[in-house]
Amino acid sequence: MTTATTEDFHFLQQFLLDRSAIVLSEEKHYLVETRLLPVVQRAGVGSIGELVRAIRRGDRDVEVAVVDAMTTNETSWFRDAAPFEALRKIVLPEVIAANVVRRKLSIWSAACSTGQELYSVAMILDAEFSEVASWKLDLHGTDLSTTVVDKARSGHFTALEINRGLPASHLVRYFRHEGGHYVIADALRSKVRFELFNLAKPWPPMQDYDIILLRNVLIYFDVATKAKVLEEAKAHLRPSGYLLLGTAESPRGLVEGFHSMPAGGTTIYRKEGA
Amino acid sequence: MNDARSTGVGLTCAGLPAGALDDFLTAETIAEIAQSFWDAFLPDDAVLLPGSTLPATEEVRGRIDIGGSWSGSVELSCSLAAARRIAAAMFSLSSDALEVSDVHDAVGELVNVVGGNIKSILPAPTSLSVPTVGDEAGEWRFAATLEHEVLLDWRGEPVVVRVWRAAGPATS
Amino acid sequence: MHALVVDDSRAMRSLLRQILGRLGIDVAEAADGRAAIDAVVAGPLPDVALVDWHMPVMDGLELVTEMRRHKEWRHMAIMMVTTESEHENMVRALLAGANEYLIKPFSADAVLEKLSLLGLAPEATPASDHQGGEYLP
Repeated sequence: MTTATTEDFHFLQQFLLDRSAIVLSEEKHYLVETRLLPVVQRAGVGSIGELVRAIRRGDRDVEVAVVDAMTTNETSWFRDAAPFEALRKIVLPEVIAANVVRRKLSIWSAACSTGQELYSVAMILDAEFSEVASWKLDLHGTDLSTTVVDKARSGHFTALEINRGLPASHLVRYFRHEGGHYVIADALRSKVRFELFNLAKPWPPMQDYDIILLRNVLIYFDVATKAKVLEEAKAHLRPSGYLLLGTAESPRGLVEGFHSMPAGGTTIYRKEGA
Repeated sequence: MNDARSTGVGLTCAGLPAGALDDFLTAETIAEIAQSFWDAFLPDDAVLLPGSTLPATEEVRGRIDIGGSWSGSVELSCSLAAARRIAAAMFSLSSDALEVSDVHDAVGELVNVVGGNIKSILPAPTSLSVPTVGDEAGEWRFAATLEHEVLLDWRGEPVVVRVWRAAGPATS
Repeated sequence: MHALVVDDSRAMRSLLRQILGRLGIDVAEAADGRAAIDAVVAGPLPDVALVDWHMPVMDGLELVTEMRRHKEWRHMAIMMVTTESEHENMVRALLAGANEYLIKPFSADAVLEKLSLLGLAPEATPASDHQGGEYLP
């Protein structure tokens, strides 16, 4: 029941290469089987073949479980230095200045995974932008997977996760150690909310944001879906709001109406018009 | 050689009452901690499965003592084959190039990391000894109480983590 | 770039040497705090010292305290690499002058990211010039 057929293995090879740039050589057949056995058991299916069929059907929870099982690649805090530098130096100062009368700030992490990106933003605001402490903040994280949204909400992280790019000063300030896990401080957790959201489906009526982080998710969509998601994101940005994409992603050729600005080692996109 | 010895950590019974360890440390947590060592340091070969049988012989044993709010020892034992494979990865050497001291040092660091992470779960203050590695169970075990025994299987090789509560000030 | 790895475990020193070596970093080793002080005195000054906590002779916290007494070593970053993760102890190490903290066990990626936080990543961003860095508490 635990053996992967050659066809299953080749599918998983391609899937993991596409999804996570993981290269699995043929001799890793054994590794696939031992690592996926617990996933097979937890998913309540009979075999690796059934897992493969679930992925082919687009079952995102199974996808996430398989990628998690095959990688030790924890999401980093402050993932990629450049976008967070752009947030600190350009985006946040500008957006905060523009909202000084409204005293409101809304930020959406639209593919939030286990929450590191949004919690990182919350830490930056707390540590470096004390002027917004009394504002109405809406820090919103969404993802397609129940598993990752639940984990993001719980605010519990392992030592391996906490090691990934989190400055020591933030570790001691924003986390407490509890039962082998590092738990995000209540003061920070109370500022964020996490919900399920499928970017590829029609979007329900929703509020507008000052900043949308849409990072490392467009790469999984076909061109038509990319264009649709970017149009929707633009429609839900406030005038002169900012869109931050992953390093390999760009709105070029997909959507009009963004002004691209080089910022450190990255490019950020400001919605045109005031 | 190099058998478990007294390490200078005060083994007193102050702090947690007997039986209270479970509130902090479960078998599942111990397995997670062991798994994290493999994930980090042996990422190409990182799967620990639940084990079902004790090894016929526990050929390499590491031990580290915790003192403070809870006093006792974390013991990790495994087959020589498993110990050699861990050492080969940590030293980046082929298995036949390893000395006995390499194998003992690698298992010492393994029990140090597992024991250190267990220590960090217990209520402060706690202290940690230097690990010791040998190939036989020490007499200290007769006076200690077994709190947890977690059997793991690494590619068919047994790995066992045990957590022992010290009996009292006389134990060392 | 030069790193000094201070750990009483040869296996851990070897592992860190491999990870740092792959990043093109020269590695010196010391097995306890006293040997680490001797190594820094003998020179050259490392860009970063990776320091275990629980060691014989002189432990990591004493070592950090001692290293920060030497003002001429202020350009050397110090990163604790240890299982010691009691909140109070992490704060003590940072107050004593450690600049970063890596909890064992750690992945190779985590080492690189922590070096980046210190402005010491081998392929560092142009803005961060570690030559000018001062790591005094």
